[in-house]
Amino acid sequence: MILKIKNLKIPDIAPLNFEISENGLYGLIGRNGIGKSTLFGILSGEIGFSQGEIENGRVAYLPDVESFEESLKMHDYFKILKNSEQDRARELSLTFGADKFAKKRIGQFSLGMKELFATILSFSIDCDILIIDELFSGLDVSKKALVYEEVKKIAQEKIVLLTSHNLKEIEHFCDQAYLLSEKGLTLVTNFDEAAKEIGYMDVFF
Amino acid sequence: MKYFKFELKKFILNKRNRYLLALISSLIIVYSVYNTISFTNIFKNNITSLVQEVQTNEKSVQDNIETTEESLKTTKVKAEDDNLNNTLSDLKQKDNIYQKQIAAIGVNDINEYYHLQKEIDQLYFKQNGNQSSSGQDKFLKAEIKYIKTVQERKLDFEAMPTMQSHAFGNFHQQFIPILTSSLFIVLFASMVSILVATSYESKENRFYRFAGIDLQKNLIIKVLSGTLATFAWIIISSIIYFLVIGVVNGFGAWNYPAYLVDSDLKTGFTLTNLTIPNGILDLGSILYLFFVIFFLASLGALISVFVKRSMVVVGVIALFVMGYSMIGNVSWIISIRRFVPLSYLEPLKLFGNPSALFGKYSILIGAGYLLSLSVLFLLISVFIIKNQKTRRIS
Repeated sequence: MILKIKNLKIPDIAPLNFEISENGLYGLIGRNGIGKSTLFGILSGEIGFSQGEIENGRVAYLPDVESFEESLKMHDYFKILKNSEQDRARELSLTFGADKFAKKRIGQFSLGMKELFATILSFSIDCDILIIDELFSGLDVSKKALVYEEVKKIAQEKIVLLTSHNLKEIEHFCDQAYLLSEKGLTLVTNFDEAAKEIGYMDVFF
Repeated sequence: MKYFKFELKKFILNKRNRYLLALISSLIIVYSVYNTISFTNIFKNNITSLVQEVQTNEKSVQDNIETTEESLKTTKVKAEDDNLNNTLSDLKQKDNIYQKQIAAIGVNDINEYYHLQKEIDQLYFKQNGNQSSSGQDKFLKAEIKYIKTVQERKLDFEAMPTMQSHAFGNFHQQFIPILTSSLFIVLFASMVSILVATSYESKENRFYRFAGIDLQKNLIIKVLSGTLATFAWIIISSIIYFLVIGVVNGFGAWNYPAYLVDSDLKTGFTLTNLTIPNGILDLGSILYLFFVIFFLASLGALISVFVKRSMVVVGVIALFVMGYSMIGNVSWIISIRRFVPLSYLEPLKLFGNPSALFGKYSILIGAGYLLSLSVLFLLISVFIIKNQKTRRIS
């Protein structure tokens, strides 16, 4: 699968030209409000654009963990997936220990539970390009380790675009990382410089 | 089917819908209890008012008899004498029937009362001829038709045809008007009309897009599942109401005449469809509510794809329904009301063959009209959502 963006115009950013032709885990960093979510929205078809061209396959992007019906349970959502996706979702909920809160209604979930549920859904969906937008921020360390282990496996079969405000995670887990700034999308070769560019302070490490 | 089940479950378990259904159910329970308790008194009052009515009529006839007898004593002309004798004979016949009616009511023999009432009505036409088309003549002819219908169907009479106590009659006279009142229409709209708007508000369309679920198909499924769930609730509550009234007052007969009227400011109060069996009217009215709910749901979907806010959708529909109930009788609206969809939300009025709409075809045209508009609204909504983006950048 290939992801090709040609001359895409996003407000306040130079036209984007970008191509990923190999499966893998790709990080996308940038300061708040620069347009990462807008770019993901465009890729998923949720946001319309008037200038540029995009070549991609089926993109799966779950931007919001608050969009689930609170009165339903996790398995109600699994049931509307394709059979193969359902099997994967059940398997992953066991792997991530999410089966423990399977009987709870989503309204009773904590943020971490919602994020884990959204992660399971994201990892289960059949797609060519998977976008993960700040989905792991509420997970505890043990879960995060499991999730990254899994995402690495998935990245062997599809293109995974990952964004996180934790640059250490991006640097550590991603095959490549890109910086979105006013200048456009550029490959990150030096994480310290990229961190300065987006004003990232690693105060908690 | 799995999407339908999902949407149905979501609709039924949704907190707002549960509160609304609890509110509507409470209103109905309170109303049923009130209706059941008060009906015993109403029935007693009906009997009392029947007796009073007959006693007043009898008193008037006796006065006329006295006046006629005195006139007879003073008259000298032969022709006038014969005429007065005929009148006196008729009045005495009438008085005799009234006395029998009072006796019949005294022993609670309502069948005999109506049998005698038919005789009185027929006597009127015998004395006055059958040619007049006055309001009273029309009413008496309708009354004779009603009495004959009950007798031909070999049924027991209700004390008052307009206030039937048994379940089959009570259901359409008391329960259906509540379900089709403006208040309930707005409450139903608060559940089914905002389904699409809430999917914008909760951003759940983002999940459907993520899961590869077609948004157009999802919109149709949402509307259908909400409509079916609400309609199922209507059927269940109808059965409960019917059983409660049936157990307390008796079920009555399926084919008892419904005594349906066409009440209109322009044409007045006309007994247009009084022989329609209660059972058909009950069932027909409930089935018709499916079209009403489907119309509300699809109208809500259409408004939702434009405004995307549930409160606006409810507000607009409430404005339409309440506004139309207030201005529906304004002269220029009367001239166009057969084209206004809101004229077709009350099945009882439509079964009454309203001359202001399409007479005896009103119910069929109403169902067809609401269904066509619902399909049209859905198609427009589907077309719009197909081409809709959360936002556009340029």
